Amino acid sequence: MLLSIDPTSNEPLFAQLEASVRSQIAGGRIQPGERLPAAREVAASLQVNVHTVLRAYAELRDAGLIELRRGRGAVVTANALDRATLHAAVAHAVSTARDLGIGQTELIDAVRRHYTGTTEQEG
Amino acid sequence: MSHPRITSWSLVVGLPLVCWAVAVLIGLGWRDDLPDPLAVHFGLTGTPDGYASLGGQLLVFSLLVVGLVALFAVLGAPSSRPPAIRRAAAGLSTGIAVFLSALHLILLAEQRGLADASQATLNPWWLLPAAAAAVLIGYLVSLIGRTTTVTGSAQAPPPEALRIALAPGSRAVWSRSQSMSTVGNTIPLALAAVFVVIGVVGRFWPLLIVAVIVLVLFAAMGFWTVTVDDQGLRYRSVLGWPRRHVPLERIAAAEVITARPLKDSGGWGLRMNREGHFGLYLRSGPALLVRTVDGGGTVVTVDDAETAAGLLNSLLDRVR
Repeated sequence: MLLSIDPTSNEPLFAQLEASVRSQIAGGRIQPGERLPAAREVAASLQVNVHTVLRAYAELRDAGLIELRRGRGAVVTANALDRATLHAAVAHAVSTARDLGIGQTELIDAVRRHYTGTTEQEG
Repeated sequence: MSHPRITSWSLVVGLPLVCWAVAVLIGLGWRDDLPDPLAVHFGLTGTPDGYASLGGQLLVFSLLVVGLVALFAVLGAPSSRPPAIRRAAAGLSTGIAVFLSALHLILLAEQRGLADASQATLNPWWLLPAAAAAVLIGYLVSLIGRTTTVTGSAQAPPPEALRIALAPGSRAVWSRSQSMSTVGNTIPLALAAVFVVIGVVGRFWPLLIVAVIVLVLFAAMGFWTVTVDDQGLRYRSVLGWPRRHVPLERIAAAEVITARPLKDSGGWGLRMNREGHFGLYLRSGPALLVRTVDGGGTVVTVDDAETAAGLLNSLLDRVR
């Protein structure tokens, strides 16, 4: 697994690490069951604080992409690929909305309409 | 390096034959103090169960040492062999000759002054200093001729080498855990099981310790973490040892090759392949080959080796 950060970027380092893992799961380069490197080692290699790496791992756990187990480290979950694909689609929708100057409320409304609309059609 | 052929032949053959000659001469010198016949084989309890004349013992000892030295010379001394192979042959040949010569002398020394060889005992603890001396001397001989200076020029990897997209100023680490293939796992487990069965059936308990050692080695060799970052290549057993580091400044370029553990290096684990490259062979298939500036190399059978090779080459582009 390749983790990279750009210290000159305005994006927080933990978010860059998180995006690094997400994009590789979505791209199929990281398979479910694979173990992420120990946070301490990533921190040493990238010369960042270990808490930065732990925060990225915690965000990924909250998103359901990895499981954190004491003694076993961080393991990519079975449904990680689906989650990562969804996340990529949402990120794409958000950036499109930003480009079009559409606000948060309008985007969420659009998502809600689509969600209920699709459900009604299927029902 | 100006006379590699002469050097490697003399290293593979020289010291081993000196050890052999000294051991034979000392044995002959003790001729009048030794019982006839000699005890030459001992049972598991330390009492003799095989006898031969001094001449017979010297003959067997000589055939063994000279035969093994000749084998190493043929396999590892010709100048067509990679330097690392020649050094390994010199080290192994010398180590084995030292060990066999020490065993021969221990066998004779334990029987000096005895009228009847059946009273002889062999203290198995003597094996430890003999083995330690063999490993130490063999290792020192294997170091002779090692190139410590950088002979190759530190150039950037060739343009056709694998690369990854690496933004200027960014930092990257690639890491992967890798375990031994099923075949590689089965062999040590089967071996340990055989030792346990023989140990229990034969009521020879030290074999159980051997089985434990096999299992510990299996654990140390079975599970690894491989890391590439701006420090170079590192691979480490999950037990923390063994571990190895190839610093970035010693690396010339990285590529992906197809590794076949049995064919390339004769088995699984940490070993040297036929080209003299040191390697970690856990499975067959795509593997990372890191070529060093001194002409050597390291092979690591790890999944996603192309990303590891690409990162190494891209990191090298930055510093060269």
